Amino acid sequence: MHPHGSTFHTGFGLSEETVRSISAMKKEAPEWLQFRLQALKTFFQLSLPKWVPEDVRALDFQQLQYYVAEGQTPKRTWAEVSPEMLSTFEAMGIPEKERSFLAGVEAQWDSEAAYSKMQQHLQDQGVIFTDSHEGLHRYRKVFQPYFAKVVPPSDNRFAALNSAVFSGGSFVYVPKGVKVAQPLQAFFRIQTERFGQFERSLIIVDEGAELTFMEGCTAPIWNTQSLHAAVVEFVVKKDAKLQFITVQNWSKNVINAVTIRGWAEENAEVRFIDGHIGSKVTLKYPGILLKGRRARGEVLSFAIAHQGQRQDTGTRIFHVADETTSNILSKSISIDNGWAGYRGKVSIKPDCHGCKNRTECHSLLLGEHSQTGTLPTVDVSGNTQQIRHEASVSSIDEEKLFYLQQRGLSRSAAMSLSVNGFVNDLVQSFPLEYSVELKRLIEMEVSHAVG
Amino acid sequence: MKATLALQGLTFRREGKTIFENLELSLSTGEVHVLSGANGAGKSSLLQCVAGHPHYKLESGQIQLNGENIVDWPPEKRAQAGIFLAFQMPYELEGLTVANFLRTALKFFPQHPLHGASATEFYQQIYRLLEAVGLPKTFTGRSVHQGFSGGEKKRFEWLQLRLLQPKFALLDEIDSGLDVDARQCIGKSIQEMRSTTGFLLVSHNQDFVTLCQPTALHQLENGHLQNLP
Repeated sequence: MHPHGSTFHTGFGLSEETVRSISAMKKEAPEWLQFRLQALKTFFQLSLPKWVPEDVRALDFQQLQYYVAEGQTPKRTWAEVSPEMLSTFEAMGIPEKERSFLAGVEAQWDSEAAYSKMQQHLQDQGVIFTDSHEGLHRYRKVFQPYFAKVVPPSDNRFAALNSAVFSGGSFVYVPKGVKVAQPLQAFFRIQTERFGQFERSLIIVDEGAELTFMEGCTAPIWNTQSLHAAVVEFVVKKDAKLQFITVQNWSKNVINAVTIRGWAEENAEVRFIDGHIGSKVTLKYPGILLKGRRARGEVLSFAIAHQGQRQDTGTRIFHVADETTSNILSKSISIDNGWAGYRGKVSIKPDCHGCKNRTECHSLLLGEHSQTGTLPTVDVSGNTQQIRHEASVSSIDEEKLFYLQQRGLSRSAAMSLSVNGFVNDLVQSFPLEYSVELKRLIEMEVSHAVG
Repeated sequence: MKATLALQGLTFRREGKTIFENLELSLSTGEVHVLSGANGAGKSSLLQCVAGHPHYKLESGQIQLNGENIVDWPPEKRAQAGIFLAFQMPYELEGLTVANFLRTALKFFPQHPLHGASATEFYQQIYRLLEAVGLPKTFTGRSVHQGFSGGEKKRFEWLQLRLLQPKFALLDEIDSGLDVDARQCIGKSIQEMRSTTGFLLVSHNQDFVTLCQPTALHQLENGHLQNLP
């Protein structure tokens, strides 16, 4: 019996039949079924790279459910959302955030969105904020030229799986010259046990337009494993700006393998700000292709890995045009036997001129058994490029803790302040509403660590 | 009410070397004791032991605060009970602002007038203190001690002393790196606070010692404390 008595679900296991039934439940055009089936074949053909940790290899794809929905369609008012979903979203503070500072919200529950709304004035300016299904069918002309072009199904095993069974996610289009002042935000909730969430997002920021897009995610704690394997594609055109902010706080039974990639055209700017606190294992390496002259890419991320967690995150930047610049700042905190580190790649095409990259990776280790790794790859040729790389590993200095304790702070408060101090510059990059919450979450993680 | 901090038979050794042995000292509120001695004589070690630094474990002896032995208390409990150490070389705390640090510290002093104060009250008081110790208001947003000059570090230690109004203040060369004016101001602070605070201070500056109007002088030499006339 299904735990939530959901009306629409595929049951456990993954086969052609699973894919066909998802496509049928979503009443898709036949070509999308073909796309999905082809992707499924690719999934079965691909294997995981050797460095992928054991917890991810051990995942039994036949023990997961691939589509679960209660027949919900995205509602335009919270009053129409089912009481169970509403109370959960309220506990996550979503309606409140929407009122206070967001320009639009999409809230996904398992496989489908339960709520989706954007301010009227943005609709009037031609901004689109909806889910991938609507993108595929209603906004096909805008959507299709980019869909699965930035991240093809063959990119990696999880991208192939996502392409076969995707559901939900966001489709955002910001027309030329439109500057969306407040953020649009998508929330993802995994409610069902032994479930895979495969949202698929595409974000297009047209010439001279600006957007801040945010993602947040949570799930209740189960003893079994769940999988979140999203694909996000983005296209930032000439002179446009995209800021993409993620606060990842999955429960510690979720395997989080996200493929997120896009390109920046001439003089465009892409900035990622990532915070990873939850999940059992996270594999996430945002990729930016700087393909227009003077395009800029920046990735700021911090990750905390507690007992039993692995935050395997990093950045991939490809400079393929002149005078492109990129900046990477990664800070990780490993606690107990947790592993948090950086795995990334920066490459500059040989015939490019005047490209710059700066990469900084800092790791903080708490406890004797915590681990980190910094695994950068730099591929540069030509003599007009500037590359800087800095890395450090530190622990919390006992003298500093003593100083704080001598001022009356408990050891755990002293530890929290020190850790917050380590990531403070990054946390300040998040919007205020999130930086406050993040500080609190970091304090909780650290105070657990010191008991 | 008069409070007393009594060091009884303190022995501390490091790497086989005796730093001090069977040391006795009694300090009450209203008193100003000065501790002198050559460099490396163990003056700072003694203050660290009293404050409860985990690397400065006493081999034997008792530290009695109003008759209660606090040798097993962790450093924060000693601090909360009113023992304050002004560090000779305070540590830089990257990313932790002065305001956040002081506000967090005050949470652990339930009796303090600023405990649970509004942000406005808190900032008003901190701005007053910053002015009094000769630091600009912008220091509230700076990382604690990071990039401070030697003198600024001492001024910020002094600010914390004035803010927390401890029962016992252990001042480890608080005057070093300060100009004459600042030293005089600290001397004045000590006079203002001494009715409710007992001071044990380490200083190499005779003028400063005179300013503090000490009630007792001690010299630490070869691990033993001698009382000077």
